[in-house]
Amino acid sequence: MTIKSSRLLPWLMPVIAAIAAAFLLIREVRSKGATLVLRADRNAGLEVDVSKLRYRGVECGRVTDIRLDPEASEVKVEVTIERWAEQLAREGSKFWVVTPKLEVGRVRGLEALRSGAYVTVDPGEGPEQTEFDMLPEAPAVAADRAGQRYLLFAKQTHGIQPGAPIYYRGLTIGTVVRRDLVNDTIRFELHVDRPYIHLLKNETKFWPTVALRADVGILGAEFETGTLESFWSGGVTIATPPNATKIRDDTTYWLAPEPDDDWQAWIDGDT
Amino acid sequence: MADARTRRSYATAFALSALLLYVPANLLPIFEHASFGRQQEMTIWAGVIELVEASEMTLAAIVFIASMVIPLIKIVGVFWVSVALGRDTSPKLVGRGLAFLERIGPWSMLDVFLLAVAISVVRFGDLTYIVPRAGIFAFAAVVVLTIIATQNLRAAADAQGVTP
Repeated sequence: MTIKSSRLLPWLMPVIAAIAAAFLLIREVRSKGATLVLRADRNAGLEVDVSKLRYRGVECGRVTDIRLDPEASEVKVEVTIERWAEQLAREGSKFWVVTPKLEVGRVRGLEALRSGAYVTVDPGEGPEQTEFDMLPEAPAVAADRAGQRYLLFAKQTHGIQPGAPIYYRGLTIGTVVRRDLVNDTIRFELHVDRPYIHLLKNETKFWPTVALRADVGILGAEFETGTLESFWSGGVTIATPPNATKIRDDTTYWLAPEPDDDWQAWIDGDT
Repeated sequence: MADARTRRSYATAFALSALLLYVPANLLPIFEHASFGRQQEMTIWAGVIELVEASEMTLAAIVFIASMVIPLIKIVGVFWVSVALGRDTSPKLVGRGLAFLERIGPWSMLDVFLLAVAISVVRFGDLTYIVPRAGIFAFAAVVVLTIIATQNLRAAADAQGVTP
């Protein structure tokens, strides 16, 4: 070992230390993801440092702050998201709080009973962003559920609510996603699951699912009931005639108040 | 004499290493604590603030002095003694400074041991646990490096015949 190199040897340690320190600091900075601000009308049971952000059941962030905005008109929930999960926060991403919910026909968010309320997200497609308005409740259909959206117009709602099932021969093939009033007409947005898209043709008919019907006559009474779920939130039944033609761009669907006899016959098969 | 000089540069180098690692030791969380689902990362400074807010002034002062002030004093002390040894400063003063460094040396390790004990004791599955984070390793490195630096200083001092 020459004198020169032995004199340099001690200074190897500071170099290693500098690299180690830089590594630790950079790793810490890089692992810290963005802080998202989620606006909501009220805090639906979230707790600072406790509630998590989950996507597909995987923990990818944590609620770090909850406060009222200066005018106390809304709640701001701050969520620190893991760096690898930042891509979930994009324009069009939908955030909402999962809490246990009991409805007729289904129980939702049961896992939140154990873990407490948590935030979840349906990622959007746009550029990354950090401020969002939270949905008041879970969207009726998850964004990643494969299928197709259709519009259905009606004179009145017939008691059909968002979340109501769409039936074909008694089989649930989709869900009513939304309903609103457009140009004095009720407009439903329907989500039909992918395996059943081919059931919708140009001549397809829609009518409200029978929840309960009673025919009381001289010869007696006849009752007809639908499923318990449709009794609660209504439902839409569809039927397609044989030899129906393909859906066209200008196909508009209207909800008939009740089915014609021959529509029922398409289903029953005795044409 | 040449040996003393090498020892001195080792001491300075180790002190410089300690100074570099002193930065992440104080900036990074030293542990993560979770109880009943509430997860928190704690840096040394955040711990001091928390103790002050809880009106535990004595504890806050102990943590602040033991974890932040003393390591810094030690690092600066090693630099000073190392320079002083090369400059014929009063051997008495240098010897006293060196003795002081040796005395306070191991005490900073208190934090590390305390955390090690806490980690093994506070472990009730998901309910409550403490896990060490990067900061405490940097902190332990700072303490060990300053101790090695001090030992090198002692060797240099002995080689130069400086005794307290």
